[in-house]
Amino acid sequence: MVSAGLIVTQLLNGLTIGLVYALIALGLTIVLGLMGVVNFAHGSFYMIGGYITYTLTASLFRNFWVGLLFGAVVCAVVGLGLFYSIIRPLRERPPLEPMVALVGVAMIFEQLTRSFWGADPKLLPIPFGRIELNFFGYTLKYPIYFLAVMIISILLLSFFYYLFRKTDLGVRCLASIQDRETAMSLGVDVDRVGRLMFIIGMAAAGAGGGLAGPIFSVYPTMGTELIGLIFVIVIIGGLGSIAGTVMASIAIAMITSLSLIFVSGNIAHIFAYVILLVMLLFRPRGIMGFERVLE
Amino acid sequence: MFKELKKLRWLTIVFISSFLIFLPLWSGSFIIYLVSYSFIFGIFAMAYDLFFGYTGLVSFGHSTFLGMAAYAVGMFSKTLFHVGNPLLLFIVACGVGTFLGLLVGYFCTYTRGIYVALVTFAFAQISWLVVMTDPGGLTWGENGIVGVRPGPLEIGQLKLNLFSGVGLYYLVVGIFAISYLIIWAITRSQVGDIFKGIKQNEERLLSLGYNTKQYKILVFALSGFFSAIAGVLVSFLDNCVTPALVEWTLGAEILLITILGGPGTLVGPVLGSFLVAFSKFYVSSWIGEGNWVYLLGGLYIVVVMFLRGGIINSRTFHFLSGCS
Repeated sequence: MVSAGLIVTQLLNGLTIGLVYALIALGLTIVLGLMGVVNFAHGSFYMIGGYITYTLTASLFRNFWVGLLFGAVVCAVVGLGLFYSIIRPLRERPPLEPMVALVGVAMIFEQLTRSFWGADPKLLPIPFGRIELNFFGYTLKYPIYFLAVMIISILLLSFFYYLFRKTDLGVRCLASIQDRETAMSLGVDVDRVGRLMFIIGMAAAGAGGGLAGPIFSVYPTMGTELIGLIFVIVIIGGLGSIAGTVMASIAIAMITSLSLIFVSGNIAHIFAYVILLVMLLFRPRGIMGFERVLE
Repeated sequence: MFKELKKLRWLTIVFISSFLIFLPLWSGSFIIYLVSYSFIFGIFAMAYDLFFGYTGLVSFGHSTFLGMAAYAVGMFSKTLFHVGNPLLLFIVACGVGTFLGLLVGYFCTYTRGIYVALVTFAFAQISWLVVMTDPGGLTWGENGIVGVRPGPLEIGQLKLNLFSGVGLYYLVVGIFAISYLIIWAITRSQVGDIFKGIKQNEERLLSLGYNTKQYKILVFALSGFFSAIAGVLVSFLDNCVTPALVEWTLGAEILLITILGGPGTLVGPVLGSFLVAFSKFYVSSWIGEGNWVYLLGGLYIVVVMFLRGGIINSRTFHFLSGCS
């Protein structure tokens, strides 16, 4: 018999992880919608963010939050370098070509971390202790850190919401995703928008890696392991749709963490891929994607 | 002049085939292993090229077809049954590969463009996760199935010991030659023209009344079939089946091999496979396993940025002019 406390705990875990996934997936879906680039190296930024946070927490600053901030900044800088070295030179090419080049980039990043930090997983201590929560008469102990991750992710996601709804940049970005040619002819500098969005997306992925660090611990293959799940989220959520991506992230994370009660982690991930295939048959453009499918 | 060229072509074929037949007489077992390995991945690369170079579809999950066929061999010869007859193993594994090709192809007809690559990637992930969970003790999880030993292949009076390197080498070369001829014939046939048409302009084919969906599923199945042949041979060669054969990185590597060699030609991918296999074994022992990953990763970037169309036709051929 599965206790109700376990289910509530897994639901809360799913919500926390789902919000972190949303943070990571947003950058991928925007880059895909805006530039048609499937960023295979996106997982690498998640990994870089995690490792920078780990290093700064373990040695230099001894403060998790400063490490997290630095992780995001480093990811933004590396992202800028990647944009100018790979993505911009290949932007007029068919979408496959930047994708293949980025696979190489992901491999190089993974090997770099392996030679710097070693192949073993590194544990980040979970900041804060546990708190007693009350749900309909059930009390359960829950780590405060998970709640903090929820709050930070929600804050960052509302920053994204503000960006896309209220600022000039965000509106231009959404317009370019919907119709690139028209946006360009109306004077939107798609290149500049793309560069800024790429950097913001990479910083968000880095922050996601730092936040997930204490939950999953950091290891060299964490990026390539996650990227498949993020692709699933992006396709289910719908290309270039922020709300769809957030919904898909939370749904996928909740389903996987709930199924963890009954089955092992690998099978829980298989469920996510099966959801993708079923979605593909009945609604190929995703939950909230635009009619236009990426050509 | 054309007659002379034709003569030259026959001369080359005779020269290469006699070279391959007499190679085991004077070379060591490691070279035999490497050449077999390259030819096996040559078959895989040709299967991929039929799909990518000719039909213009992109897949990151071709490792599914090769790997699951290899696992079919592992399961039938070791964990589930104890079948030793290589012919039976070939039939089972190719059935698995073709079926998976049909299945993945069916799902991929619901989407297009670069999304096909993501869906095939999802299939590779599913297969990898299934293999890693070791369902019912069938796949032996992370370690893979070790000790896959095919029995001797008997055709009439002829008996070929597949457990020795040389015996398997002759089988690989023979199957490679047959696969090459079949795939070559497919690309020259009417069906092959439709495949090329899908790459160039799918809308026009649709408006001419062709059901391109069926042809796409067909090319998936064909590609899955030949990938499965490569899968069987690789499990015979290494005598084990590991999860690395199913992982998407292998699917990316075969894409790299095809782009490197020259998509849309059959000789190019085979050349690419020889290049990557030989450098993988020689260069990695020279500069170290870790540095080889940097080199391979760099190769992905360099090939895309500076070597469009591969080594066979780097200037004339616009690879992926229509990636749909």
